[in-house]
Amino acid sequence: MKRREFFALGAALGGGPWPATGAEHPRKDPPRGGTTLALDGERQFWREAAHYQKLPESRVECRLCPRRCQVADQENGWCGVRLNERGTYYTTVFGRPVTIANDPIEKKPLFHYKPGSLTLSLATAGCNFECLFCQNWEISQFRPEQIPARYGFVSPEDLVELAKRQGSRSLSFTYAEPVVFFEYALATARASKAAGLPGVMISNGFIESAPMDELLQELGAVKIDFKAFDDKFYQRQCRGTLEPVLRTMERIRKAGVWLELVHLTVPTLNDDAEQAKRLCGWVLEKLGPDVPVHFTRFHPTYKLKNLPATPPATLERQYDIARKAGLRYAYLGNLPGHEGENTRCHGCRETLIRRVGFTVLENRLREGKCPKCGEKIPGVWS
Amino acid sequence: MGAGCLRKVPMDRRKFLQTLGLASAAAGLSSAGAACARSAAQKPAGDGRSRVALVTDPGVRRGEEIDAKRVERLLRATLEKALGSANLAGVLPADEVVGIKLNCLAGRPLSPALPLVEALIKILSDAGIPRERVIVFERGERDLRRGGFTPGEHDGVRYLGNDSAGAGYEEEPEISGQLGSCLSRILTRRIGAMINLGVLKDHSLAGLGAGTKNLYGLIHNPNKYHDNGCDPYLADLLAMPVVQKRLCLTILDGLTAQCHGGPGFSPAHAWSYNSLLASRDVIALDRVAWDVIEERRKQTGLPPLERENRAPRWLRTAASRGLGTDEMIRILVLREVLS
Ligand code: SF4
Repeated sequence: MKRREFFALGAALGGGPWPATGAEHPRKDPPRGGTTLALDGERQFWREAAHYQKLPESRVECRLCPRRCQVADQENGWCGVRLNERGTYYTTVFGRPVTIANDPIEKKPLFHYKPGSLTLSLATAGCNFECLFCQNWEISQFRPEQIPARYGFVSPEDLVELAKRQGSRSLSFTYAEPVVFFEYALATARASKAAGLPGVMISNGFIESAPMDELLQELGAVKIDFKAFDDKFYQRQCRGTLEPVLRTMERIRKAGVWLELVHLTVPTLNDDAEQAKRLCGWVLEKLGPDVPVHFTRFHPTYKLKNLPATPPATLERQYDIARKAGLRYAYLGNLPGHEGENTRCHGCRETLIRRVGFTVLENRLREGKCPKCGEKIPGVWS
Repeated sequence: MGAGCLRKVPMDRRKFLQTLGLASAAAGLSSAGAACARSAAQKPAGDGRSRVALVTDPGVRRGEEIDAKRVERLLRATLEKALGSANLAGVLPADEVVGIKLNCLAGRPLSPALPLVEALIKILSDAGIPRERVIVFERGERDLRRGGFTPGEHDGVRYLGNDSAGAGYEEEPEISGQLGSCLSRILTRRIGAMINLGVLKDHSLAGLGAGTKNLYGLIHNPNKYHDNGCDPYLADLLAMPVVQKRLCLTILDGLTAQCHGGPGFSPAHAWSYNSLLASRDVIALDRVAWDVIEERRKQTGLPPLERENRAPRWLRTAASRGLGTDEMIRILVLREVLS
């Protein structure tokens, strides 16, 4: 795609919210079928990977995420977007987004970060998890060459320029998993920070400490999908592990970068009250009471179609558990119009921000404070 | 060239669809087309053992190049041993489009040799399967190119990747045991029978990158299934009904083989083995291939795969599910050296 055509895309991005289906969903192109690019065309997206170790016999060990894949020549890592060619490890998705959209920040969801603003959102193919309930599996579970490179090469600077033209107030790495497009996300976060547009990372948090620390220097906010307070859930439903995710959340807090958490509540798998209590207890102890936790509704999808959508009553129970545990900001998600979408002052319980789906109906905050009791509300408000 | 021939003859609808490679699609996915002329995954010899042919021609090369005539003779001899006849009509369902699944990941030095592929197409022709009913395919067009094949139609034969126009993957993942993947539409919709044409080589994780491992090119997400030495995922994939139904024959190119450093090409561990292997039981074939690899490793001072913790355990898993035979006592290895 030529530069001019790329920026003309702006009109197609819409600049407004996607239909409030509840789930954060990228603009979907059928990834299957249709020729992508010839061999040489794909090479333009290759950059030598960060955080890997060369091993004997042209093998490499990736040290970007705790999976630490050992990859033989000509093979991909587990995430499918990193490739060993003759002992040099490459990311194959630098400048190769498969989806770009200008979303409300509420869609991420981030409720205490520039509410009502738009964030230019992008993803490449690939993920270092395989959640059986992934809503975006059509990009996260495919390799780049299986999804047409509809935008051609998009540099970090192009993204910043597009964000400015679109009136976005941040740039989000989202939909699939930014960990696996680390190099592209980092370069883009640097460029956007320099332009006054903070980078936002929407992630599973399954990343090694060194690359996470690099990202944290550039980011304005992070949302972590805290899938369960149960390692077995991580192993069986996501093919990951819990401990590194806990470590990442603590690092984000320590770095002072704004953090919110989402817990997708899946009937029978991670919806029991005891687990919710332990999860909330951990958040309170390690991250503090001001980190918002969103309990969101599961809808059957991908490889988990034999379970019903989460009953609203289950989510309401999670909400109560969080509040009782001492978390000041619990939310309910994927329940448009529910009272649990609103922000209320932790001091006087005054409703401060009213929302429906991804739309902010009213924001009564005054310089980040409750207009009634004057309490300072944690978050980044401007 | 058969291409012109078919175009000149008026065709009924079924024949027309067949030449487009759409007969199976037209018939639906799950029970499309006739199954290979065999019973389940087992293809026993008269005594109940699985037949595996291992035929060598020390004179198959002319200098560095593979001699086209000699490799055709070698292939015919190998098929004759494996099947009792080099006539593939006996093992392929009538009137179906035949897919030849290659493995070109390692690039030209360690991919199925071009003259071998051409010889196979010729043998198919002799069996009444015209070039227009043959699809040579790989994971992607990039892989085909790496192996020295050009995507597109050449003399009636179509060379496709799963990313070729009109190919792609099924919309929904198919679950089999612990594996869940979108299947290649070339497999599910465009062919009714498959010949698996792999390479005799080592694989850093699976132990063996020969017959069964080549089937990973049929799914969209093989990168997710290399844990635990690909066990049980390879067995899960082989167990899929559509794979069972289409897979009629496996041939291994051992003209150049590699005993270590796979799946990429490692000149230090590759050798001119000048052999082909074939069987209708892919597990038995891989079991024999494993022995060949181990023998070469021993000769070159490498430890057994077991000591590197990458013995192909998935063979046992597959055999225990009735997908083939992994015990040498139940395998009839038919060796021959051509002069
Ligand atoms: S980022 Fe990808 S290649 Fe690297 S360790 Fe994680 S899954 Fe493996």
